[in-house]
Amino acid sequence: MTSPIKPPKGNWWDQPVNRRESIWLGLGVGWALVLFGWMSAFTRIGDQNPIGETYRVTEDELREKVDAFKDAAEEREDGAYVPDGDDVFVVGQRFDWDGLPVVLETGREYDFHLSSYDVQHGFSIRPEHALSQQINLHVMPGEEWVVPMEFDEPGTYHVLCNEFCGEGHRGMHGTIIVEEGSQ
Amino acid sequence: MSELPPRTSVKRWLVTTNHKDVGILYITTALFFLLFGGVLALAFRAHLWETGGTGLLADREFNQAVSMHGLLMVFWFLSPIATGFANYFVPLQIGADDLAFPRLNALSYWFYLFSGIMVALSFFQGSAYAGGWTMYAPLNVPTYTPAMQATTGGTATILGLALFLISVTVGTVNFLVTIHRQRAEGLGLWNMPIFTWSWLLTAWMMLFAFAALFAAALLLLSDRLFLTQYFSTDQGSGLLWGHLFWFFGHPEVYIVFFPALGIMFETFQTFCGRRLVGRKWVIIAMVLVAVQSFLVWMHHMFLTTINLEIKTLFMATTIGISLPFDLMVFALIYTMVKGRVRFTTPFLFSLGALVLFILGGITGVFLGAVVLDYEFRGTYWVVAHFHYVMVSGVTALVGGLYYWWPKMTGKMYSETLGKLNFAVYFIGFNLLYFPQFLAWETPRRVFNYAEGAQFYHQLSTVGAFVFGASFLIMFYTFAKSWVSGPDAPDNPWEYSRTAEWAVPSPPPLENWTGRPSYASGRLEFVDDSAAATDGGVAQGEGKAAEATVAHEEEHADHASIWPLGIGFGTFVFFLGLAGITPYVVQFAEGVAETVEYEPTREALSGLVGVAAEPNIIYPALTLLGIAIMGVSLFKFGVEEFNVPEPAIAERWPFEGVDNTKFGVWVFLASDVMVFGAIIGGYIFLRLHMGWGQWEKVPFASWPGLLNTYVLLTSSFTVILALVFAERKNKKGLLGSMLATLLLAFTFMGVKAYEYGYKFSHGEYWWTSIEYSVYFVTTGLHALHVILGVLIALFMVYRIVSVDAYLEDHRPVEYFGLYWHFVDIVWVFLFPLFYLM
Repeated sequence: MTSPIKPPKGNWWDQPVNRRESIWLGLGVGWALVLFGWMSAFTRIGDQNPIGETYRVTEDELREKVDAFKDAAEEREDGAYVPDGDDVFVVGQRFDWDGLPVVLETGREYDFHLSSYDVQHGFSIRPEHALSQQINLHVMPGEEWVVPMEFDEPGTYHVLCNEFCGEGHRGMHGTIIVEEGSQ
Repeated sequence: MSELPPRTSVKRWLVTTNHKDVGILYITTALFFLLFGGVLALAFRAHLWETGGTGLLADREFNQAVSMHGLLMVFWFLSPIATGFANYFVPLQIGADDLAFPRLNALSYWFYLFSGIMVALSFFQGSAYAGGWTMYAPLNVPTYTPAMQATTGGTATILGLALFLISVTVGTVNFLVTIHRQRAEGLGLWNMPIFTWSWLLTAWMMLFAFAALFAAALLLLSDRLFLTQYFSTDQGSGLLWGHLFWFFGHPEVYIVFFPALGIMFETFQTFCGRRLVGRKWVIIAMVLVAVQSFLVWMHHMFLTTINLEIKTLFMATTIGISLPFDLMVFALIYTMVKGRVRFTTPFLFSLGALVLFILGGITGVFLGAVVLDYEFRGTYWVVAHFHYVMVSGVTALVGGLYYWWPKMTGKMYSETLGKLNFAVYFIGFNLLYFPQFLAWETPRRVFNYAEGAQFYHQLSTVGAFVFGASFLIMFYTFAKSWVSGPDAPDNPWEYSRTAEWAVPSPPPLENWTGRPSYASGRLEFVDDSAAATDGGVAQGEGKAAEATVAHEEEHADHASIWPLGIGFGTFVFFLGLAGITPYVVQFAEGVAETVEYEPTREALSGLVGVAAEPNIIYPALTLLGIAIMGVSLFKFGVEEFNVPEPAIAERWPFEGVDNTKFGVWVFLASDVMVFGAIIGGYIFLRLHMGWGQWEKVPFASWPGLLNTYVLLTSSFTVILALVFAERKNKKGLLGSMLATLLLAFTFMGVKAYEYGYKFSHGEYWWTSIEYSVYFVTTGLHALHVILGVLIALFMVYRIVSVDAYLEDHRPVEYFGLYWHFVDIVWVFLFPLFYLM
């Protein structure tokens, strides 16, 4: 070896590819496409966190809607709301969640209306026993995001703010109480 | 100009424009900011020892510490240390004497240093910015920041960022011109050393990505200083910021990682004694990544309300961008397989970087899937992932420091200490970040976590201190080498083959003896003075002496104090601006008391929270800063500073233009991006509101039309000026420059009338979002006109005082290019604001 940093002789990059290598390459590409298709399809048709729809809303409209939701709901002794229908409103404001705490039933699909009165907040749900994150969404002022959600297990779920929203950010917290459904 | 003092003199470091000196300044300053950001990290890691915090930091201090840690590490450490290496080694690797514009290089350093000081000072002005390094809207506007008791401090942080962005733009233009126009003869792009390749792509990415962030910072500053409404409304502000920030933010990942990658490629080649496997494909892969990096930004916005189709599209581009990186990783692995590895300290760091990058990269692929992002986002999974990626970059950069240390200082370091450093570094790194994967369910941005995660967090904190200690070992190793290390040979690494190893350690001021050339296929030093005299001995002594004299006369300058002056002036100016808001608030409240127009009064209550107390120091500083800037810029302009452009160089594909013109074009490209982002912001907000519902602000279209005619005519007079300069006709040149100025003043006059008309009807920039967009966009254009006017005034002064531009008309052309650009922008603004 005269100098080890010289390129190898000949058109080594231009040699025909071994048949078995081509097969493996083909399999690799195919598998990648399958994985990607699966990933994309699962977002739409799989048993996954749904995406929901977004509507434009002003702060005043939003406050009216939340007040209407709270008026219609039955208020328990502990201050938690039992919603009248399938719509649930959770709206962030510095530094708590308007509309929480709320009492829900398992096995029933609710439409969560998520938004914010002031700055961007992070809507993160964590069950009390594990505190593992179930879902995390950015809620933004001016946008009402309607996300269908269903709870499988009863228990207390904590709603944390997951984006900086000011000095009291750390204490911004609410709860969802899920009880065994009647059905 | 003046002689460059020796390295031991403080004065040298204030006046130097030499690329090697500036490189050392960059690297040293960046290491200081590494310590700064690192100490903040140690503080909050210690605070995280138990859930709820140990009480070391209050809530607000914790928010500040993590926000500033992110900002400092990304902007003031990672990018600049790479810039330092590039400063020192890119000219050496391509066989250039210096960068194309040495004084601008010094200027970008001073902007960088002062921007860092500015940010550090923000801690002492109430509070540094505490809303996260992403600065999401609308938390980033004054209404919400008084709650952080920090209008001034927060504004100072953002002003510091803006100053840093100016520094980057100046530096980027410089590097692009240098790499494209000053390569040694025979050094085609394919053969360019791979570190220089990585830096070239970094510079192109920086040019466009940082321009987008600069636009975002300008809009945010206009909100914070002048109470406009870009980011304070609920009409799409949050998403607008997200788009602008992440359009910059994703390329930024590669901007900080590419130089590290370049160092890995270089060190792998050197210490495996083997040319990089698939070198050509690696370069193609890097180009692909650089382009694709601008097409993935929305994966940072998967949790927002963007619709699913677009999220899926960005999921595809995101997964796709990992493929070129796979190629690069395999190229590195095969280089090791095919070569004979020598485990020196720089190689160990590079290898470590590769291992860490593989882990960081793979854990990131999960985040590219929309539904998985719902689960992972905002947890320590993300924290661990991007630290594995970014700090793997740091690992390679530390390797680069070891690799080039003998070249920069002329001293060898102790391999034993270096390896000890690596061992502690690698253990500390994994002890710090790996437990964060295990504790991945911990929420970010708070200091509470589930009981079960405590063990992992404590491991992580211990790791943080071990990791910090490894840097102490590094500093000790270097200090010891500096004081008592043995002298380094020209090339201590044997198989390294880039040009910096062909010159002494440290290289002399002028880099080369003779002109470097690759014309024969390998590096040679050509003696041009001998060639000019046909190399004959018989020519006699006299002629050779003459040639030497001629060479001496061409001697390049290396010292100028005015970059420091401009940098300092801008710093003082920005420092003053940080405290302007209370005065604007006073003004606006005064207006609100008398004004009849209802929306102007109402809007104000929503915009102003509890503003900071007015302090007369700030306006005084603003004025002082303008004065220092003015004087320095003038002196900078009239200074004789000789930078010979190399006569023979490889310039494909830019042979046709000269250095400065190419620089102007590159600068204009970044300015196109700034205006593109700002006009894009206008269109975004208008679409969000509903195109037809948008209130048209100008009272009539005729002033806009008039101004269009005025500006187009001024483009014509600039061309006349150029023609007269070419004909060496001083009167004609002077006349057409003055006519251009007159037209510019007419434009400004019409503009002032329009603004005045609005104010007299009680309509101000804070009245509504439409007004904010109108005043800011046309105001930014007017600022460009004003800058043009200042340049033109300076040129008129030069024509009158020293008959400038008659011998060399090119500066008139450069000004003409800029002026045409300003006119073209107006041609877009006119229909967008007056007709639609």
